[in-house]
Amino acid sequence: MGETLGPLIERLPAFLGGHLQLSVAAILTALAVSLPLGIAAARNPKIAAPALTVASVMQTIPALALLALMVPLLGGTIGFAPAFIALTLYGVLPVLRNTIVGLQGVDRTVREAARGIGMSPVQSLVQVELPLAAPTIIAGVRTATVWVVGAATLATPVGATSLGNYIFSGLQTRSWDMVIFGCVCSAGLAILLDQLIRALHVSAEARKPLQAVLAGCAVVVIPAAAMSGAALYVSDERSGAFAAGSVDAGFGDDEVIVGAKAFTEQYIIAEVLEARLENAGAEVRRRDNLGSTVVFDALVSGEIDVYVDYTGTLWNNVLQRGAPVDRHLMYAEVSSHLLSQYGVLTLGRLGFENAYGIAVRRDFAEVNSLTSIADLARVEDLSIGADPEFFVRPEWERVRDGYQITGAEERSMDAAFMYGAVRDGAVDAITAYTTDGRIDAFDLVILEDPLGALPPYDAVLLLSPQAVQRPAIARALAPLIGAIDADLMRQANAVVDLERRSVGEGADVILQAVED
Amino acid sequence: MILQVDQLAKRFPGGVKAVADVSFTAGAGELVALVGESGCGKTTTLKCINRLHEPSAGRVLIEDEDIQGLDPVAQRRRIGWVMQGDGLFPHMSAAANIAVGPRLLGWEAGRIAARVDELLELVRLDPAIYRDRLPRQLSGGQRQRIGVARALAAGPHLVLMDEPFGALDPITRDGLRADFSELQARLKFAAVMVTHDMAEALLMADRIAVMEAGRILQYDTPSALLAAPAGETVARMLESPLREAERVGALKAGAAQNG
Repeated sequence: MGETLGPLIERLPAFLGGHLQLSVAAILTALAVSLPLGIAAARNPKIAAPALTVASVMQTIPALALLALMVPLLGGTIGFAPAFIALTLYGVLPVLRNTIVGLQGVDRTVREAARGIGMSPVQSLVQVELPLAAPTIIAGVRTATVWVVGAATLATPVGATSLGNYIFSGLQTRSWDMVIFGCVCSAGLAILLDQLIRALHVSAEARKPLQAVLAGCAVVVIPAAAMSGAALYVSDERSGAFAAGSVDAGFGDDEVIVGAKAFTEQYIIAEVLEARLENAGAEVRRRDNLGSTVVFDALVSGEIDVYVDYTGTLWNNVLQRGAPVDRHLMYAEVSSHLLSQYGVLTLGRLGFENAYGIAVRRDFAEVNSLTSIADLARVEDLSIGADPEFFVRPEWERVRDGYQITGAEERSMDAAFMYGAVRDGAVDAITAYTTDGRIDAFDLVILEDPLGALPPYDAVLLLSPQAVQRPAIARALAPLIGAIDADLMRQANAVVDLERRSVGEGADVILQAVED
Repeated sequence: MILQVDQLAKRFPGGVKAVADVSFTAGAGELVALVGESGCGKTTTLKCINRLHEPSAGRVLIEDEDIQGLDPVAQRRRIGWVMQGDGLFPHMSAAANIAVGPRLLGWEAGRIAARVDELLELVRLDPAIYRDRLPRQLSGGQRQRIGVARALAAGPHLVLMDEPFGALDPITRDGLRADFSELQARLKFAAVMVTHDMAEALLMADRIAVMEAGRILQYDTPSALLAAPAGETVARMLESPLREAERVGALKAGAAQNG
């Protein structure tokens, strides 16, 4: 554990800083919205009912979905903005509800006393009603804080930096110490902030100004310190970018932002792109763990400059086309569509295909004499494991209906777990990624697809409209085109997934093989 | 005259007539009691005077000024207000509760602190002991004393009280009534007290307005009321305190003979 903690802690300032910045901004904004609204609503049931209904509905939307929905709502913007808005919405309800309940719970005779003694409505609110409702309101603020800090870990797939970066990367590369580290940090942060607010309230109640001031300072100073730490970290990167720009390698003054989806192959490719760009003199920033649809929107809006996607995915998600066509035709159609509709340049195919393939254990295939997917129709009580995305894709529909395996049990699971699941017999078949190193290592076989139900998934290198204007980027990356075949990719994946070595070492396998 | 209520009427939205044709006056050092069953309009009358309700008709003059022309919030700060229960602010110390009125009037801190101690002495609570106590750390009688002190803090010429002694046990109530009457004699403020307890009205008031269904049945001094009750209702309301007094007197006489 000792040597593994080092690299984790190295990234802590950036991740923790991003996490704090995001959650504190969201909590403060939620307060600024819900306190006045709650005060108005406590006096006016016409406001209270709709406000509470809307806030409750927000709460029923799973945080991950709320975060992801913000990206298209903001026109493809990723990063801080969508995460901030979603988390703010998430934090409104507890404060709003407790403000209304707290104020309405103030004894009627006390309110009448305030009026009868000569307080104006504002004086009554500030001097009597709010102080009496404070314990309830503070409880709401504490709930909101814990929720928001926890949900902020889910901001990673929409491109906001948070402690979730540890968790998402760790889950995909099965680095459990990374996952645990992320969880412990975010839980610790939630507990810390919660206790600080409690301390602030307790000392304010007890009228111990010194303690209150200290706790207040802590609430402000700790986040501020973390943020300035993160700011330093970021400004270091920025000044580096400026220095690199002034050398003039043709990249201009802006850094090049490399995007990646959330699985091992994408991390490795992103690492490769980063290394190539840096060697050519560019300052590079990474946006890892982007959701599979979020990442393309981010490219179109210029939030990222370059990433690698797969033709079959783009065919379905972006072109929204149905039955797959021939591999080369699909590539041609996808690349011309992306350019004409979005100004996105398909620089080329990397050389490997990472398709979905139905994989089973070799002995299972032999016992049931399986060679093609069609043979699965004969297997009784068939269960198929796949990533959650697969079962809602049209190709699953085509596979299921085309090969008549409609009775199969569908088991959604994270892609990181499905290879182990089929090896251990927890499921009979999985929808493997054909470049995954575990297919060979676990002695799995890919069943044939005579109907062509599963589309081709050529890996393609995509440049944003802005990146197209910076030819140095294309120049640095062009040698990768056609240079990474399926074997090479599978080897690199195996380095990370099987040998449990770092993503950087996986990338080295490719970098060494690619000739300039 | 400190308070003149002249043909006051209050109708609530929906046309419910709560109070009609109510007139009475209270001079310096005088206490007028409004007596009647629940719902007779006595509390509504009281709230019309400090405009927790706006009167529908009639006039209320305070020190010869028609209250219609005054700002209600500013006007309430000049009037002492003692509530049913105690109406203290539970999050404020005894001193802070008493200081609310002077603070609203913008007195300076030193003057407020001195005034708070003076009032605590006035209601017979040792400032050193009680100044910093919260309402929940006080007995019912002590809370009501703080309530009275709060009403008197800004030195009002008029004090309005809604069932001020209603929730107290008899011994505490007796002591507080006597202390209040003594205070009033000393400070010479006018007071209007709402009560459903005829005995309390007879013992404390200079004049009593007996109310029923929003109207005054009889308005007179306690002795005139006892001598000539105007009608059956007033007579019945006077009966029970008198009968109680008689029985207690008879018992006491019997006890003296046996002893």
